[in-house]
Amino acid sequence: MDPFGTYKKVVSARSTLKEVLKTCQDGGIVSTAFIYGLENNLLDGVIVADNAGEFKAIPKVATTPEEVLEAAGTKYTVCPNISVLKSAVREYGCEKIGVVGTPCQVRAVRKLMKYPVGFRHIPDKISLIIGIFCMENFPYNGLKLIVEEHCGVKMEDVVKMDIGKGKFWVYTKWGETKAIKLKETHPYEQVACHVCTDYTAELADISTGSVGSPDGWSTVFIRTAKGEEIFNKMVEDGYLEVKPIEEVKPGLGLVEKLALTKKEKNMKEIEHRKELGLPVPY
Amino acid sequence: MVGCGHCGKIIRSIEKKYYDKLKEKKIALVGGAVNLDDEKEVKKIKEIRKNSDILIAVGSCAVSGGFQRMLIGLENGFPQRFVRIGDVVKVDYAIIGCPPDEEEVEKVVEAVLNKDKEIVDSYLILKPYEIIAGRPIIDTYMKVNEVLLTSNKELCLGCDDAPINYEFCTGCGTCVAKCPANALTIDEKPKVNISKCIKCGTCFFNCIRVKEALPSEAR
Repeated sequence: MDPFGTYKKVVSARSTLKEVLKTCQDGGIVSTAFIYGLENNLLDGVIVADNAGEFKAIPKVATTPEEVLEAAGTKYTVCPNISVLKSAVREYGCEKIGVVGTPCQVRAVRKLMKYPVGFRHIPDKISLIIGIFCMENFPYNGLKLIVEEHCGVKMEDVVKMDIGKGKFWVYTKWGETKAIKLKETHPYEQVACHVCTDYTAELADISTGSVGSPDGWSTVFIRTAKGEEIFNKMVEDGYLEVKPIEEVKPGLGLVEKLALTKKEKNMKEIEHRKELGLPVPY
Repeated sequence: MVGCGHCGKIIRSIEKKYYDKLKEKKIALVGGAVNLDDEKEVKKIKEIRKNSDILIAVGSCAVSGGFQRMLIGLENGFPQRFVRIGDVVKVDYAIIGCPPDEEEVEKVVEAVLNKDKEIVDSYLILKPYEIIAGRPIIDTYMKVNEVLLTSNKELCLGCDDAPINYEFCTGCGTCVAKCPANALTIDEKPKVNISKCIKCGTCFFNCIRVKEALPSEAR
């Protein structure tokens, strides 16, 4: 099984913008790419997942770097990003749109570009699609339960959540750190994620995630010519610092392992569903 | 067939452009829902099917019944019943949308005309249209055989307020962006405002999980 899909190159990268590094999740690649695009007129509107308080995620059309900064950081919950794509064009009047999303959302964007039913004049206005690595997602109530019941932290006190090293980490504003085993969070996963076999957002222009790089850095897959152009410009203008993936630890091997884990586990689930006579995807 | 006329306009302009080729390959484009109480109309659609090799349903009324499904017209004091074309005759390709995009219709017609084993792309383009033509997107609540003469909501099979099966929904929001009537709202999972929904089925067609994510009663 092919773990990554097609890609041109893969590197480890980190933002050089101080204000991004303050609020971002890992390397700040998505925020930096959007800020670079907005500042240099490559993009005039981007769709991001905003934090609506207590880690409730809502989609937002950001048109200034400040708005992008406000929305930085991962929210481990469902956010219907694509639902504002039409209003970004029709209401905000954006002509060069950047979209960030999970693998399923990237897939949705590619599908609606190919079959633009009820979406006139929009496909050619999408100019950058950034995908993020995704193993599974939690509904908001599930996330709340994990944080409040299992970690024993109130949702309003949380400043950052993270998944890494087999654990779910919660950082509070009092400086405390709580961690639970990832195994305990499995019952709260979204069921729809169990039939998805895409880990690294295989249809995006650029896909990024923390896995495979050291703390504070992100692994970046550059997949299309468009993505490569923007990424190279960002490196040239000093927005990103880059290391070859071979030099960092734990390296590409871990990404491959996790991607294959997701594919195998979910293919098994699909086979199981077939046996039971339940509907299966694609 | 019966409709508002916008699909008819699109079909006319496409037919003007491709008249000779369509005639040569026996391809028919049909829009609008079928009125079951109009004998002439039922006869006409059956005749069209007989005389053509490929029948393409254009627009939501033809594909899923569209807003015509909600109508119980009264002509000369008699109720009229409307169903999608697929309930009366076999449909080969279906283009959904209310109204459908003219460019999209053109794209499909061109792909059908140039359907060549070597052009893999034209097959890939056509596949989703074939899938939705082959199975009901939303079950019509008035089928040819078991016609229910009612506007009773309890008997209506298409009036679920969940557009797709929640078991498969990843909450991406594509359906909300695509809805032409602004009938969908989303907070993690989409919900339909029934009074605004025109039953066009655009939300199904665009779902990334379209093959499996039909609402439970439509399977």
